[in-house]
Amino acid sequence: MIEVIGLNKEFDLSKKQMAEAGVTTKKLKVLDNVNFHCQPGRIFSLLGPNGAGKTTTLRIIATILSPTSGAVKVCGMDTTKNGAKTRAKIGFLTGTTGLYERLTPDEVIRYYARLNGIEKPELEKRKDRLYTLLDMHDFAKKRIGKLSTGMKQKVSIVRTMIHDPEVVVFDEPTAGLDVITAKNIIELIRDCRESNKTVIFSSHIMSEVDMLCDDLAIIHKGKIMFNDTMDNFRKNMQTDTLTEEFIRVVNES
Amino acid sequence: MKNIVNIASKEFLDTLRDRRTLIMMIVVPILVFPLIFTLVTRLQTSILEKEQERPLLTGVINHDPGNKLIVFLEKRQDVSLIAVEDSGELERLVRRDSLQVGLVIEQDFSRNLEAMKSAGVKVYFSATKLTVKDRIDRILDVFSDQMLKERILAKDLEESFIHPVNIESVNVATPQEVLGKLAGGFLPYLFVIFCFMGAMYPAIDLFTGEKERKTLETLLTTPVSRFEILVGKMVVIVTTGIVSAMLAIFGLFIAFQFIAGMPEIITSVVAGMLTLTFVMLMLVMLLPLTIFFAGVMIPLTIYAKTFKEAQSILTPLTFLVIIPAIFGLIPGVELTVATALIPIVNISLATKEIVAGTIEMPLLLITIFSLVVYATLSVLFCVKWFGKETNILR
Repeated sequence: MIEVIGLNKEFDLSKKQMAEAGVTTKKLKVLDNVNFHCQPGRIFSLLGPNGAGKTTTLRIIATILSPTSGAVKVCGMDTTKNGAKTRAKIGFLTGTTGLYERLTPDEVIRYYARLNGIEKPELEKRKDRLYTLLDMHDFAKKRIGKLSTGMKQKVSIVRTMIHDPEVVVFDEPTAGLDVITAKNIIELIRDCRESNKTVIFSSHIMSEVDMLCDDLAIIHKGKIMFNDTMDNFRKNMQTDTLTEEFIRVVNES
Repeated sequence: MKNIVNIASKEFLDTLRDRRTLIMMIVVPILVFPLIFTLVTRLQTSILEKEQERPLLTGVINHDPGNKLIVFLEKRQDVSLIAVEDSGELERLVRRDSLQVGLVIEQDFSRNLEAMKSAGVKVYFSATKLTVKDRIDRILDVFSDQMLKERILAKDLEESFIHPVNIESVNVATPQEVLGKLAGGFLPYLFVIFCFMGAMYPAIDLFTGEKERKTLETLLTTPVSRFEILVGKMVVIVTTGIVSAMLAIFGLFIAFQFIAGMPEIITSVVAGMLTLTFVMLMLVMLLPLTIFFAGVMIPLTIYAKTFKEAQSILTPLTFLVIIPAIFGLIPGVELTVATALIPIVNISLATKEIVAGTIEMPLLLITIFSLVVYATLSVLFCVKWFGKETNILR
């Protein structure tokens, strides 16, 4: 369960950043009173154009960033007060997730398992199950630098899921990936729903959202423009296609 | 603590698989001095041998075969004489390297010698040829001594006549003190640089590299605190810095001990220095110094967006480290309460005193204490800097 309540985020800008952003104020408001709820067993999608505030929202949920005001609760815990406990409940995956190229998949997974406090017998059990599921046994002991993009993404998936998180955060998880690798991610997101996990994923691609999500929030310039179920979004459409409707909602702001 | 150990062990594994870090941390420090000393001593020996084998090609103006100096020089195997007409030509030939040295023997040389006056010889040489002047001076000194002996004999005098005061010098400094004061400053200069450079690559790789590879964001989503991440990584950076510095010292000892051609006085003093106390004292000073270095490097590597940017920021810092380290090499700069408070300068001067065996305990303690204070301040700054989200996700 994720609860985002009246979330605001401001960044301090340097003179260079002010010039680049074409603003005269030192503060840049990137999130403005953002509210939404993500339920277990459902996929919540945060849809918005580039620079809308999706990544900032997800980073605040994962406690990488702290909110300027407002609150985020993950599994009932306030993220600002229980950072470490919150992170133990979260799995975080992005499309550009990097891995340690000089290590092997086994070493990376063991490292993240240890950081998440997973004991060795439990680690071996979970690792074996995930390796079999993703067909990873053949390259588990090869250096990551020598693996293909698809293989690397499988390693990232195991890294995200090794501690069996209750909440999984996907930040544009298929960005820059080929179709086959992206399919693995889509399957993982569906698996998470079936395992009754709380899933939030950000995207700027309407077709991806249509394929996966149960609940939808459209964010633009840091403000939530739409927040309801995907079914209701489809039902109340004023245009012919989902993409057109998304553009209409964004432009209306 | 468990998390710090986990992070440090992973970073050690990752760092030890990085060829660039391994070269900077192990290969360069351990090999650089044995290689430099081998090359220098071999080159020196071969130059000296060649010089001594070859007769000194000497041009002479006023080449009178009856002149005592000419007779003396012609008898010597290590001199080859060539008559030259005028001093302009002689200077030109020496400048062009056609002659190694030129002698202008004054017209009245033999007469003055007979009259027991000073007989003049002008020596033309090029200061760019380092050994030539020494060789001709030694040869002319032998001739001058011979003439002096003949005069003493002719006047029926004792040799003590020309030595009215017999000066006997007694050096109270031990060879260790002499070596320490003269060359002891060289040691800290070297290990400070290797310590800095050994820590530099892991610092860039562990922070900027992690940002560039986009692994930092995922690491920050684990239940580990930022403080634990910072300390875990810092342990690795500090260790590599210390290992580099210690290997550089070890390489230096190997160079002194096993390379032929080193003066025995140096090898015996150096062998005596490598004691457990010396190594422990070095470690006690190196540890806070390396933490201080890491504390300065880490914020910069966190700030940098790319490996290249971090390298271009940190490389000029090497000069800032070298400048205070050079203080140890300047004669007359001593370890005082004031210099013991300046980072790098203090370790440089303290090491010099330790090598010489003249270190004063209160000054050593002030040095260690000030290094610990600087290290603590730099770590506190690091913690603050790493905790700031705009620095991490810049």
